Amino acid sequence: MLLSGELAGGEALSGRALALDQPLGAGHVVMFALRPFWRWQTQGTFALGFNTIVNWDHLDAGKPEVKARAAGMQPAPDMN
Amino acid sequence: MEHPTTLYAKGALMRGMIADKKSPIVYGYTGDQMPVYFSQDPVLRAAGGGGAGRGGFGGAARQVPGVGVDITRTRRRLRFLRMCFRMPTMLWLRRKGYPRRRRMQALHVRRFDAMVVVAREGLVERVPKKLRRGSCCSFRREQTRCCYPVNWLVAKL
Repeated sequence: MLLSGELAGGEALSGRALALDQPLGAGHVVMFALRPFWRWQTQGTFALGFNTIVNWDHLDAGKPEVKARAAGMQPAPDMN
Repeated sequence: MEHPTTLYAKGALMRGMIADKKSPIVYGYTGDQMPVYFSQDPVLRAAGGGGAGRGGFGGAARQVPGVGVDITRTRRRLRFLRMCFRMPTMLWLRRKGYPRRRRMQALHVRRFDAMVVVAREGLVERVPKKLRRGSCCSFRREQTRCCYPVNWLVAKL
């Protein structure tokens, strides 16, 4: 689990989520346990934050049935 | 959301597992893992385990070698570091007239390859080079980890 730095009591992190995307009503709540924008340093995870912002209305991509179920609606008919 | 009191992870790099590669949140990332910066809290517990989220330390316990291992060695190492940096630095600070509380805040910052101490609020002072050599963590330096970021030192004031 630990790549660099120090860690004690690491069992408290075992099985925990770093980022959560929770559908809520017609929207989403995205929670980060990591810090995607920690000053200028965490450039490798900047995209996690930007992806979340840019795709704010498409966070269900790849999971259409989940969104339909969460919103209590039928899936949109295929227009093709 | 949890704030475990037994956890000590002040600005460490952790191995993150991407649980859902199709999520837009991880667009552009390839592979199953990614190193992430994590600092102490919050700790998110997803219903049904780590797999419920988009990624996590989670799932990791079963998939990544080394995850979920006994961390007793880490704790022992922490104690060792506290012990070995303390004496020469403490004596030097004492001679300079720093009060005991400030002396106890002296830490070794390997990241900048320099020993620094927090002298006053927000001020980081370098320990003389001659004091660094042959003392403190130069012993088994490569085998031990002592990466205290400066911002952590300041935050501890």
